[in-house]
Amino acid sequence: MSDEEEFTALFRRHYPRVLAFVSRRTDQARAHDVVAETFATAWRHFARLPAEPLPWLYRVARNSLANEERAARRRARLFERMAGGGVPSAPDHAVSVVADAGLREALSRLSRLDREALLLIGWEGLDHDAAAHVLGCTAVTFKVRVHRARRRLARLLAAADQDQAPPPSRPYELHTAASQRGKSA
Amino acid sequence: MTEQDAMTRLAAANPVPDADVHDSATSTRALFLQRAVLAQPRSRRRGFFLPGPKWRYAVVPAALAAVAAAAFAVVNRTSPPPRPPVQAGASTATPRSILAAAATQAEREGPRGQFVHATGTVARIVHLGPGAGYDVIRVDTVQSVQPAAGLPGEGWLTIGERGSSVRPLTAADATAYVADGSPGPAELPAAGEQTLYPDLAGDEPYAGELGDLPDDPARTGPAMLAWLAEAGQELPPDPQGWLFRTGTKLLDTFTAVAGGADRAKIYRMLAGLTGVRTLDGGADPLGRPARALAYTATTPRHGLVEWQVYLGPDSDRITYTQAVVRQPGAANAGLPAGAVQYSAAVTAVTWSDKP
Repeated sequence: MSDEEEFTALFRRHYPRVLAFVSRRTDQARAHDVVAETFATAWRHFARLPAEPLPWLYRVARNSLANEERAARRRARLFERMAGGGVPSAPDHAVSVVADAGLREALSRLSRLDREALLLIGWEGLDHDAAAHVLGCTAVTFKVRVHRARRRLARLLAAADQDQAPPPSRPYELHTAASQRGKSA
Repeated sequence: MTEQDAMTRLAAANPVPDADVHDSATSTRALFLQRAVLAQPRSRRRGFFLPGPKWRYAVVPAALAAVAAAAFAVVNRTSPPPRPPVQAGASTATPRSILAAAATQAEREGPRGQFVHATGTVARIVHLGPGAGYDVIRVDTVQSVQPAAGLPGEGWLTIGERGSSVRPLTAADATAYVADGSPGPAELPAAGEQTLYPDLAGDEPYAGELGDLPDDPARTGPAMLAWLAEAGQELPPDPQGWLFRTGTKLLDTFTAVAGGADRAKIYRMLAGLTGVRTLDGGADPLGRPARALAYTATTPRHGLVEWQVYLGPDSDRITYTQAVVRQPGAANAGLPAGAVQYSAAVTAVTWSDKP
């Protein structure tokens, strides 16, 4: 099988999931650009693709999305300087498209990395090893992160459902995280 | 609300169910993209050794000549003699003076090419066998190309693609290693994702933009820690240690893409840390002249570890990094004090306008 045939098979197998991954994180107009960039990168690096390339493709797509976000932030800062301030930051697309209001509120209170860890499990259906590859961390680190994130999400959802203000999270989270670190050691 | 309930609710809120994109690979848009991608040029690496003896024999002499020429150039540009008679000059320098000098060198670095090509090796201890088991050192080649001086572009890095090896850590390990059939690199358990520097301290990575960090050295470190807090990460229990390890990773020769001004900013931040000390000897573990810095801290599972960073004598490039176990912990209880948990050696650095 030639490289072109192998790449075509890879493309047919993974295009739907990469498109879904990106579409969950940005608008449709940008999604197709990011998917195109992702597969173009895959073709340039075809010789070095891992045997199971989906996490690698997700990671490339995620980097591409991050580059777009950085460029958008720079544009916003420039606009802010020109306009004299007052430009609100754009909400995370993955949060803004969630229809469940309580869940949307809870997700918005999670850190970006915690939220992404949960989405990789809950929406992409990845196992810990694959999700860790996407985030560029070890499986152990990811496991700890997703464990904490699940707990925080459940707590925030419970608070949102009871229509109560969530507890002051920072000191509590820091205390909890420090305790967990001690236990995991 | 249980955690499982929360995850079920999250899964149910998926805005793009897989079923919605199931047939998308055969859409007109997808087929157009596929053809467009295949029409693009790509890395020459895969097609380098095409099947066919004539072609291969024609390439080998040329390749050898190219490698020899490159090696000559590299040796003359970056590599010092293997074991020069270096005196212990580092002991008279302070971490602050070494790092301040590196910052100045980083700022002065003029354009040499659009891409930095670095080669070297990474080594790490792998524990094998049932029961008490034994330890081996796995060594992998590293090759990387990164955009130089903060220029935009895409870099790449490979670990082990040009060869790997395994050797026992101690004489006692050698006996067990032979009895176990002397397993090679391919027989070692998969370590998951390959990384240059195993995370022994449980550090959260810094992923903010270096350009956004304040130039004032007194504010650079706090700004990095503030970024962690803004990202919702826990603050490190030892901020100085986190800043040392994270800062030196941002300056890593294999992966760094920062420009001179940003590199200088990080060096000046490092110069303001407490707990950093110099190492005597004036040479790195390969015997090359170097200025060495170290930071020692207790890790959650790997005991007391000393992170050592070696800078080239006339540049701000980090040429060697290693983590030395001073007192083993739960995860490396069988290691002797002084064992090197992992190391990374940069053996050649060149610049070119080609990726």
